[in-house]
Amino acid sequence: MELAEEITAYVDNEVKDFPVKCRLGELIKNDFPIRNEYLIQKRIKELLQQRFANCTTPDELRNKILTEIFQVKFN
Amino acid sequence: MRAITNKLSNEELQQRYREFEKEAVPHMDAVYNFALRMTGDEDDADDLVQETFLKAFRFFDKFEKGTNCKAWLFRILKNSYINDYRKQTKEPDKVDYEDVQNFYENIKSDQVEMQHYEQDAFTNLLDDEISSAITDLPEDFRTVIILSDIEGFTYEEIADFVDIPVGTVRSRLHRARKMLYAQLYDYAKDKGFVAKKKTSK
Repeated sequence: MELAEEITAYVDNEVKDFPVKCRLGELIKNDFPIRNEYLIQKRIKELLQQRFANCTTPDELRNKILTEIFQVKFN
Repeated sequence: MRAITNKLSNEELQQRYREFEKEAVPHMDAVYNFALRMTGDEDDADDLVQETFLKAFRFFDKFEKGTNCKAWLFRILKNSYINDYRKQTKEPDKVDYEDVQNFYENIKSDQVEMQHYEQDAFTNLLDDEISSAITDLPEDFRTVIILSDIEGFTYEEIADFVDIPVGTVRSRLHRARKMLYAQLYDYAKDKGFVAKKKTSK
């Protein structure tokens, strides 16, 4: 696995091996290019979590689906 | 749907309806959002969500209680999307992984200046611009970034959903974020949210 991809896994809390996790943490602290990778991955993840324009299911669609399912019950 | 009424008593149907309402219906917004991001069209998303929920209700006895219902619904949606929607419209753009690799390799660290993080140029971008940048990603990359960063699935769940190894999930996610970063950086630069780099003579 490329080191850069390990940084992605680190950001996602998907590095299960504790010593590897510690080593990556040290690299992020001390290595400028690795820190940049970390910041890009983290920033995009946070941006999508916080800002992604989530839409609510339109009421018409929700009602249509629930009505259709509900009709099955009494067919 | 008629097949259900032939097999289940009214009491059993009522029980299924109650369980479905409790387990599946609360995930409708997440399913709708994913459908919208995958198709890029409200009418197609409506059709996909409707089909997903009707299939889910029909086969709700196949859902293992106590497991992740949202992941189960997303799998039904994915199958409908691949089998029905995409066949009727068009094949997805084939991803030339070499092109993606070249693009990705060109995003070098020197394009990333620490001041971007300090000034947080992306804060000024509109939600629509972020949505649009996601929609512009190749499908393989768009899928993993939506599932991970918006829907909060683990690598293992995404691997199971997309049917690829966990390592490929990680790799696609890594590249998807870099591509998205580059796209949003360009938007921010065009809008003057990022200071232009001074060129030395």
